[in-house]
Amino acid sequence: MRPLPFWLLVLSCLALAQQTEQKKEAPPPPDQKQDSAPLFKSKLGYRSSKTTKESTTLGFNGIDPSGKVDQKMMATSPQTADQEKVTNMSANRPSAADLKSFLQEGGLNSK
Amino acid sequence: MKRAMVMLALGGFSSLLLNAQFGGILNRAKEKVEGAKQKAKPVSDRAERAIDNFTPWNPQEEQEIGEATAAKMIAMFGALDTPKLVRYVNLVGQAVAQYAPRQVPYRFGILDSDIVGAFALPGGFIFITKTALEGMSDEAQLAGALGHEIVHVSERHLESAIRSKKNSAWAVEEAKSKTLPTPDYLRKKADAFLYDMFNMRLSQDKEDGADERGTLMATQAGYAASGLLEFLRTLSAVSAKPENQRAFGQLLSTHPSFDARISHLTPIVERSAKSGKTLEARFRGTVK
Repeated sequence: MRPLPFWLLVLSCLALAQQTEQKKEAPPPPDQKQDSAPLFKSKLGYRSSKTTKESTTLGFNGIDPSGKVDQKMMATSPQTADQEKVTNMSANRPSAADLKSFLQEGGLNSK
Repeated sequence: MKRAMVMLALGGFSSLLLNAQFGGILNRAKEKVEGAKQKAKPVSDRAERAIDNFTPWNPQEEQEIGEATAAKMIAMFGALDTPKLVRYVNLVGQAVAQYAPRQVPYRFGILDSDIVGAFALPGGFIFITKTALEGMSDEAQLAGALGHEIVHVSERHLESAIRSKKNSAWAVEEAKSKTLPTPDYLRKKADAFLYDMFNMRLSQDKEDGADERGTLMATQAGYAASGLLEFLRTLSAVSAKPENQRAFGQLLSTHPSFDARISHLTPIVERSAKSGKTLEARFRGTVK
């Protein structure tokens, strides 16, 4: 029969090993969106072309901690849907009549 | 002694054999390296010639490159799908763009990103981030920020900068594509353009010029001259907090400091007429 201090030592070693293992599992996946506190008082709640049911904003997606666009993001290739959005940007430009009415409403100048 | 002589002779004989067997391979490898160097030379020569013969893109090239880069920006960041908000940003942009010296079809989009920034692409594609919009408090600020980007497009700032640097990704890609035409020409050009845009700092005078003339165009449209200046002051205060570095890293790595821009713009705004409109209510009614 071993003395009690021996068994205590074994148990503490086991507890320490388990704690270390848990710590290893703790960090989140690197690509996971990281929400931060709002930079400004108001936050737009609008959804974008890339959001899903689970995520309403892309946050700092593709931005490294220093704020620069990361290499993985730079390698993104546009899909048909992205090209369609560009086409829509051109197709949905406000007409001259829309602009005129917008300028008048705000008391702005028309060239 | 005799044994040593035999070993030496055998060694010499083996090296002769090896040389005969593999010397040809080594020589051929050397020739290939030299050949590759010669093939690569035209690329670097063309990149150097490109900077000496700067000619702006023709309208069709500019549109095609603009569309390819805009699609990539949307693929990277996502674009807001809210028609009312997108239409509003477009109307404010069009109000200012009426006064742009070079008229192209200016189009405005909102990127879904937590970074603060706005980006001017060839052909009149201009993007502002959702977070930059959140930092504004009236329409004059939006008009000033869009005015800054319109000046970059109108005066072809980024185009001339990336084509005037021998080591820009664009110059290298352009030279390569002339030597070895590839089917995905536009995609590669868009990649190179955006790489340079995210990594290249425009000269201080170009940024100051964009602030100055962007503000001027906004005032010509009837907005308060203080719009961009007020927005820069807000950004200066918020960016000072270390925890906000991630939101401002991209903008500050390619632009002068907010304080430098504020110092340049303040006397210009002070000399301007005070009759312009801020249209805070319309802005809050649409954006907030």
